[in-house]
Amino acid sequence: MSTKPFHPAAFAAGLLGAAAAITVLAAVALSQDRGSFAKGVIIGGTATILVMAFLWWRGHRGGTAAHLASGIADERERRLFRDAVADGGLAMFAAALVGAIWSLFGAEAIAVVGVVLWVGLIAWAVSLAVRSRAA
Amino acid sequence: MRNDVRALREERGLSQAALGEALGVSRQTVNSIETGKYDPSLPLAITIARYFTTTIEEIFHVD
Repeated sequence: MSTKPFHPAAFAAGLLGAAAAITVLAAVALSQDRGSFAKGVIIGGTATILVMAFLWWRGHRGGTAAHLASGIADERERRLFRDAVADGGLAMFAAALVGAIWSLFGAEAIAVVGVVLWVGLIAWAVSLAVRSRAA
Repeated sequence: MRNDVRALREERGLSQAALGEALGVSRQTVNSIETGKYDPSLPLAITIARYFTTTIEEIFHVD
């Protein structure tokens, strides 16, 4: 129901865990001679961690996104998050259908997967922003 | 659903942030409840009613 208590140690452990996961993934990619993939993992992962750390710093003073990232969201904010995830999932489903047709015309699988992921991510972010303002 | 949360809060001279702190929710959630954009869960509605020492029916009104 209510805002959850914020546990800085748990959040810091989460950030450290994410950093460790990124390092391991990048190391595995490099060992498989996939330098481009490793670079993408490092850049994308670092950017995500920085955004999370910024939202954590914003904490109580921030809006829905900061509360969610800090783990202190209340029931309304958690519902907004769930609804946005559902919107993202629906958008990914539609994108997958389009991608399946696109692949019939010669699209590479990695391109289709990339588009589906980005569509889901963007739909989630837009949905969360719109829903946060509307409710 | 209409409600009297804003009137009850203002009667007590509370800000939305102060009420949110007391109820354990964000200021934005208090605002959303007051403007009718968000209907609280039953546990939160009970918490609100207890905070204002009244009943849910006295605060929330079905249109």
